[in-house]
Amino acid sequence: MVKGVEKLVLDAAQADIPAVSRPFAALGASIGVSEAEVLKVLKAYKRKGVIRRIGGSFETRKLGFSSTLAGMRVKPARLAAVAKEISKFPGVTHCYERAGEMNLWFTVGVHGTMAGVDKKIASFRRLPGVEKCCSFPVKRMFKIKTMFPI
Amino acid sequence: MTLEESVVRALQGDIPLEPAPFKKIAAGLGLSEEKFLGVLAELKRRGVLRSIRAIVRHKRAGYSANAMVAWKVPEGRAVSFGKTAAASPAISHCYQRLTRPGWPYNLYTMVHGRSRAEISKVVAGLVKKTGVKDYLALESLREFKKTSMVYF
Repeated sequence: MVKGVEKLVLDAAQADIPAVSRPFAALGASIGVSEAEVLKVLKAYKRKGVIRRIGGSFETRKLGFSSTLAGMRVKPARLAAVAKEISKFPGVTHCYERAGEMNLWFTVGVHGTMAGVDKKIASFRRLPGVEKCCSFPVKRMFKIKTMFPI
Repeated sequence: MTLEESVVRALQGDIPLEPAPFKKIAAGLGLSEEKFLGVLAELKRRGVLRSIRAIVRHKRAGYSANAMVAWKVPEGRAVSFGKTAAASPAISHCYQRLTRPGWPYNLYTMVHGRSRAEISKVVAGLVKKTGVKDYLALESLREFKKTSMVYF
C-alpha cells in the first residue's frame, strides 16, 4: 500500500517539476510536503527502479529530429536476434515483440529529415529473417502524456 | 555545440536529486544558475522542452498490462476519434499515422492498465463511445528496449 505522501510526490513529479532554482521545494509547496521529504521519496523510488529517469522531456521534432513507428514481420526463430540488432541503434528508443501479423514494433528517430529515417528503416529491412517492414509516420498528434498514478 | 544544445544534453539524462539541481548543472556548463534557468524558460516557451519530470517504469508502478491498439477509423472521423481517445486517462499516447497497403489502421492508442481486463474495458469503452469496431489490440509480449532519446 502506498502511503499518502509518497503518492502525492510521485504523481506530482510525473506531471511537472518546476524549472526554478529550488524545484523540489516548489513541487512540495504545491502539495504541502517539505523539500527534504520530496527528495527523500524521489530518491527511494529511483533506487527501487520505479522511477527510470528524472529529467527533461523534449519535443523531438522541435530539436530537428524526424521519427517514425515501424512494424515488422520477422521469422520467429530470428526475432530476438533482429530485435537486438535494431536496438543497438541509439535512435531506436522503443522495441517490442507484439502479438499479431507484425510481430516486432519499434520507434526510430534521427537528426535531420525523414529521408534519414527511411534509410535507417531500409537497412533494418535487409536484416536476415525480416519478411516485411512498414513505416507509419505521424500525421497528427492527439496526446502524449505518460502519467501513472501510483 | 550551441548553448541550447548543451542545456538539452544536460537534461536528457538525470538531474541531480538535491535542493538546487540546476545551479549544479549550470556550474558544470560554466553558466550562472540564472542564465541556465533563462534558457530553460525559453525552451519551454517554444515548446522544445515539454516538461521536466519523473519518468516511471510503468510495470514497477503496478501497470503490468499494455497494448498498442491500432484502429481503422474513417478519415472524416479521425479527429473526433482522436479527441475522444485522448480524453481517457488510461491512454498515454494517441496519434493518427499514415496507412500502408494491406494495413488500413490509421489511429494508434497506447493503453495501460493494471490487468488485461482493465485494457479490454478501456477498449470496449472507446468502441462504445466512437462506434469504431475495427481494431487490432497489439499486446506487448517482450520488451527489447525502452529508453529516452539521446539528442546531442
